[in-house]
Amino acid sequence: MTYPLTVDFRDGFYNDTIVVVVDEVEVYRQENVTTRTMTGLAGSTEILLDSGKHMLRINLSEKEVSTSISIDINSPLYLGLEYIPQKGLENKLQGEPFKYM
Amino acid sequence: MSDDFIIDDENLDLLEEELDEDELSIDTVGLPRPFPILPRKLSASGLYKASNRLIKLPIKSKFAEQSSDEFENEIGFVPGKKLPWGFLKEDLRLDVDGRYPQMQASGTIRTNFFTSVDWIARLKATRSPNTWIGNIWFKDGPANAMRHTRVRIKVKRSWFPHQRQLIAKFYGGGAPTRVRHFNFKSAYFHPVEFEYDRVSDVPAADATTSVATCAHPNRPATIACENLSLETVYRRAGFNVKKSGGDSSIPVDDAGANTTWSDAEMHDAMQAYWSRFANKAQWSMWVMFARQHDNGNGLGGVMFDDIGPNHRQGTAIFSDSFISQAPAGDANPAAWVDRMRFWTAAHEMGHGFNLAHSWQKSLGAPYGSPWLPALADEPEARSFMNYPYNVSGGETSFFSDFEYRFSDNELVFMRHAPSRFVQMGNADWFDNHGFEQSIPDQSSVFNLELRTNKANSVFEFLEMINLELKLTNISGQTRLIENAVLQEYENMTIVIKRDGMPARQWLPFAHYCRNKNMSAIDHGQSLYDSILLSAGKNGWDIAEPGNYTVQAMMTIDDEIIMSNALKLRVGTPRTDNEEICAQDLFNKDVGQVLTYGGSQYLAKANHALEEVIVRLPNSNAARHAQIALALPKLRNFKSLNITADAPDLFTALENKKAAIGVTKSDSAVKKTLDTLLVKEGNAAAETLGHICYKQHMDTYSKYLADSDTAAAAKTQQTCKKTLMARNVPEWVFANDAYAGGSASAKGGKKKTEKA
Repeated sequence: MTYPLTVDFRDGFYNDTIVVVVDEVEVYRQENVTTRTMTGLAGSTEILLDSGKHMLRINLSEKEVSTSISIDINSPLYLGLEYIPQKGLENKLQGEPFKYM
Repeated sequence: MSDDFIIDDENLDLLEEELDEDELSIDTVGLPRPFPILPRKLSASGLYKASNRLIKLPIKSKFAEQSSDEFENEIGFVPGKKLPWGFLKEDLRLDVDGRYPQMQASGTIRTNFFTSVDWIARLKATRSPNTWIGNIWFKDGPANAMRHTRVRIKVKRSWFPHQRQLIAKFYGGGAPTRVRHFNFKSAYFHPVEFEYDRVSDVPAADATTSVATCAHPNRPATIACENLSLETVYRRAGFNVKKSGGDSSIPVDDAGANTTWSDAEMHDAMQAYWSRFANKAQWSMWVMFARQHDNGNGLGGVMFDDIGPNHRQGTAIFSDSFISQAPAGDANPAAWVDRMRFWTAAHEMGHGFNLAHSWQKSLGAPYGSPWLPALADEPEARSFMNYPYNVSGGETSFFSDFEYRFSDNELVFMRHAPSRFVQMGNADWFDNHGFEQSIPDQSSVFNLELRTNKANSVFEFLEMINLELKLTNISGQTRLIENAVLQEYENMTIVIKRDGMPARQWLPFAHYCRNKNMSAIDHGQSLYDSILLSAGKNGWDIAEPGNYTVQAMMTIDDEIIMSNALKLRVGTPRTDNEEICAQDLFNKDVGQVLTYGGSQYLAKANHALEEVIVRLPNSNAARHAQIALALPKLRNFKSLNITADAPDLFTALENKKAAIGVTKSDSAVKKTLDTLLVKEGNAAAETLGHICYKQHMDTYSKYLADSDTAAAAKTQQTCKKTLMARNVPEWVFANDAYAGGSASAKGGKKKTEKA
């Protein structure tokens, strides 16, 4: 059984190259990702994953920043990623879509 | 000004002695907070505009220390030049009572249409009634334009708006004290206009523009129950809100299955359906109610307009999105949806006022810049600009404390920040930078047009620029106007601004005193004149390569007439010779020679022009130089000759060692002018401009007519042919003295035309 993991790239991105690796396989790469300040959203991608545990790694190559997140997916999940200069990549995982205005 | 107010001014003098720095300290006993909401008729807050008259004060008043005129000189950027009457404008916004008082005063001092100074002061009430005092904590404008550090404000309240007045005293910072008198103009700080357009697939009921504040049970216990509109929200924020009257429906039938909207599509729709759309800064906003964005259900609304040169003019609210889906188990789902749609509309419109999200207040480069360097984020603010579900306790916590308002910091920004930061279409989204300033209302009586006769107004390096002025009667009726109104520089100000540089005022070499000969000008008729714009009393205002903007303002019968903003470009030097010539050419004397059509006295200037002719023979600068050197030789040129041993002019005159001499006209220049003006007439008209070219051709014809009327006639015919080929209308030549062989119309040229 597969479930979608929606990854939202939110505040703090500017001309970044974002690479998402799931279980050591690159599943997403996007260059020039920049947050639109009027919504706080830079971009989004959906990844289909088999139910169960997975290890995600998100790299920002220009900023030389990465973070690893362990998830256990058994229903659609939504991952919000935010870059904070002093803290690095922060994430928030939830069961409902993120909202923007 | 009424007498009782003058008496108050005397009291101010006394109060000044009672007050000291402690009054600005936190410990000072001020009025109780929060302030009671006064009836609007009694409130002091609002917009005030300065009157031009000076304050007449009792003798020995400290307010008499400096007149407004002195201050205008201080900040006028044009040393020694008094600004024309009514040219300096000054607003003051007082924010001490009414809805959400911020205890601030702010002002804008406009010195010309390119330059203004904005200031903001934080106020404390004094023991004297209706009087506030405070430190000026924000200034925006040219460095040292306003050195004062403190302001003291006294208000005369009245039930009648036209009787409300304010006196502001600016002091501190080592600058001379300055007092200014203001009249009340509005209870609001700025105007704004909204237009709500709805896409046809959105039900009217889903385009929410008002909300019942007590409809949902999760709300502050103390909130006033009312039907609150978006207009009222922004009125309480300090704006005089009006509807454009153009609310309409946007048909979506032709879109087929693609009924979601991209930002670009919304921008196109804004241009097509917004009745007020214009590519300019204006206090006007378009609100579009659509079904869904291309991004889907997760986007409730967006201020989509960061496209093109004028940002923040349009916003959209999406009814088919999460804002229309109340959480499961909500106590009143319908009220939740209404409130969320309303909140979203107010939120997106807030972006139109350049408000960032509450958690982005400090966010600067590379996205933009906060308007204040130390602006703090407000992640827990119960403001329209925060996301309700982002605060501690989530949406339930947010709405239990939400009072349908903006935060205090946001109110200070909207009410008091330099208006170009806030006004729609002005500063870019998320950026507080912007050159464009608000332009005073255009005259409905006259139109003033600035132009050159050069394609694209692109000039060679060193090429002199002749600016043409065209003043047209657009009043719909015949107007009496002074013939020489375009030569009366007392009533006209021309400002030149090179990109990235401060504006400079063009100053003529001379002012003329003329009889006021008046003419009746019909509707559609125009007066014309031409000036050498490159140089003036300031020296060479246009010399360096680059882009320039030129704009003029003049007053006729107290009517302010603003011209178009003319863009010019000066090219870069292409040869070493151009750079060599520039060193001597950009000299004030050379400007004077060119302005007055030559001199036989300013030898150094003449030499600089000769250098241009020799080194750059095919340039437009050489064409100007040759004409300037040739024209004085067309006539017997009088000059005052002083014998070499006279120590000075006065001694020479006293000892009769000075005499008027005459340099005879030189027929050799005929060949030069024949080449420059006749054979190469089109090139001359291109660089001189049509008005100046015609003047020179008339002068040359007159010279020729003394000995050869046929040659004079031929010259004027060439002039006519050259200019008509450049689309100059035939009536311009109706009074040519020699063209038709008749001299009867000599001197009768009327610079008017039917539109």
